[in-house]
Amino acid sequence: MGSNKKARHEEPGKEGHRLMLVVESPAPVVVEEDPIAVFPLWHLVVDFLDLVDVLQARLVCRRWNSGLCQSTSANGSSSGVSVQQCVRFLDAILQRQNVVLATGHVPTMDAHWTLGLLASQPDWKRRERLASFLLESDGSSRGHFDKMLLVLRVLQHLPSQMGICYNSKWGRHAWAMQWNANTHTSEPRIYHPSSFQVCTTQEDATTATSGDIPTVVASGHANLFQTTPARHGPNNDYDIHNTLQIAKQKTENGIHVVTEETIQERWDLNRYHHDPSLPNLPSDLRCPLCCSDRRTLQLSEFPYQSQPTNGDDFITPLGYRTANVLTLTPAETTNDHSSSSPSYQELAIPIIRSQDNLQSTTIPQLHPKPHLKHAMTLHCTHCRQFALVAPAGMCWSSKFPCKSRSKTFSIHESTTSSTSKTDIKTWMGGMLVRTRCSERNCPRPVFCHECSHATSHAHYPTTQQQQPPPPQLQHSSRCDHCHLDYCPAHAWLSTVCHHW
Amino acid sequence: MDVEESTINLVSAEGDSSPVPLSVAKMSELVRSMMDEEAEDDDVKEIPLPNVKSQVLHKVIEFCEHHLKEPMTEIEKPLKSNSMSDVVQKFYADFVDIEQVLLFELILAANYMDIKPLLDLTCATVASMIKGKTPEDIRTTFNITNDFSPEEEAQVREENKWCEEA
Repeated sequence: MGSNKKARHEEPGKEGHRLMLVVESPAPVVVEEDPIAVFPLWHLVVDFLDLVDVLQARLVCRRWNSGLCQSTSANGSSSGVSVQQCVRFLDAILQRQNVVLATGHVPTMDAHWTLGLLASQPDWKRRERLASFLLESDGSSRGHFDKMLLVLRVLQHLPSQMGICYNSKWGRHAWAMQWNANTHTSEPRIYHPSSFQVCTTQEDATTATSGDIPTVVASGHANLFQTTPARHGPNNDYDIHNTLQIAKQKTENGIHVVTEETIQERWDLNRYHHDPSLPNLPSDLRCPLCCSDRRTLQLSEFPYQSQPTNGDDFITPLGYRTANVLTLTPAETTNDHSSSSPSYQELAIPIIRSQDNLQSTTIPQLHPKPHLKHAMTLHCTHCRQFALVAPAGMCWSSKFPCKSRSKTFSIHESTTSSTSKTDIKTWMGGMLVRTRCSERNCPRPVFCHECSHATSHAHYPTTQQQQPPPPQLQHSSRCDHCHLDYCPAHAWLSTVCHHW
Repeated sequence: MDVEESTINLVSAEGDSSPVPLSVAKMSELVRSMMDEEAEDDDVKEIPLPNVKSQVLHKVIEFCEHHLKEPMTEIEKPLKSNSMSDVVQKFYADFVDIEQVLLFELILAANYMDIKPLLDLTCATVASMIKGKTPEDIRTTFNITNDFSPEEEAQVREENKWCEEA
């Protein structure tokens, strides 16, 4: 504190006490430059902004960007977006997406997962855990704002839906899926096989495809499918890092990879329409905590006990281990690429032995026990200190017998030590769809797919005969903005399962 | 007959002294704490504010005097409107309808003098000038030049996209 003694000063003619003492004032915030460009108190302004506005402000100029993202200023105090503000932003997004950030010990087997951030927990406790995560030192110079960005990037790759597939080679595995809904439509649209066009040549596809409608090549039959745009649009990095391209990559260790050259049959499941060019984890997606330069994030299905026995802080995987996604980077799995056993084998559970006779008894029950719930997770297999867990509902399970919808598609498997290829048929035995509505046990969307406004859960009264409403109206989401009620038959357009 | 309230002199960076009633001055936690430290001394104190210009100090005093008569309504966080007249009473909306440099200096002064309502008002005003605008709009509003290289801007846009899609 500098000496701020001032000369005594008296106001002649004023009543009351006269000045006899001067005091020192504390050290001021010294701003020698333009206070607009070099504003040292961004965290105070950010309190009044939404995240999207903060992001726009980052793009104004270098100084605003560095000022906003600065974790600590030169004098050691916080000046940019504060930890509490990052927690506010992150917590709101996670809650809106119905995703839990699991921290602490995140094993891949049957130990407890310390969640601590379950939606049922008090806000303060949840936010306290989030703050702790953002402040956790990882040996890098990244601040809490950067860490928040990395978490959100991982969240971006947590799929809305995940197919649970089986094959004789790889066993049970999960495959990210994506709805292929046309976001430009104003009316709920139910897709039907007749709504897309099968082209047999590239020329046909080129002719048939209009400006913003991508084509998907199914090379096995030399078919080109004209599809509707994905929800995230065609120009995202899914196009670059899709499953097939990642699967084709050779790993450093030369171990098993799955190459796919053919999709012989699109997942055309009656009214459903899935893009076979499936999104997957980009090769540069990193764990926000350890930031290992290896691809250590794993997408898994995750069954757990619905009634935690150890309080809300823990859920326990039950029944079987988490199943890996087909294209998990196998760097950590094994270096023995000459082994005849697939590197994923130990992670897989019941395998369909017969490729030709799909018997219902051979299909692992997706709901083996009624007290189990499911989630899909993206977790780090390296540091095991980070996971995103999204509650999900099962579709096409024993509860909703849709055996006829269990479709097959062929994948070609090869090893880097051999150029021989073997067809492996894979059955998609079910689908996990994330549940989003904040209403307990309601799988409805929280945002209107028409206008993106928040939807509310609607309770429909019983009939005059005290009978419950018809199943399709027992749960529904309502958008007060466009006055639209979603019956289950329409809600699926928002990527939420509507099987009953 | 009312007893006239004691006053205290707030001295700006330029050395200008502004006498203000104690109740007004004590809206500043800085002034309050400094006076508390010298509580045993009955003399009126002169509070030097070496980082507050006279023009800014006058605005601070104007705010504090009015706040005693008509307390400002609490500003909702985050802002629901980018018009301050939708957020606070007319006086306060008019109060911050000032030049931007003065507005930012008011923020610094409010922070320094620890006057929470004034800090909220001024910060919310800056926020309202950002809310809902594109980077280009914000640059125009604040007369700022984009000094990002194309690569830097692309990097920030890429990072922003992670959040926007969430």
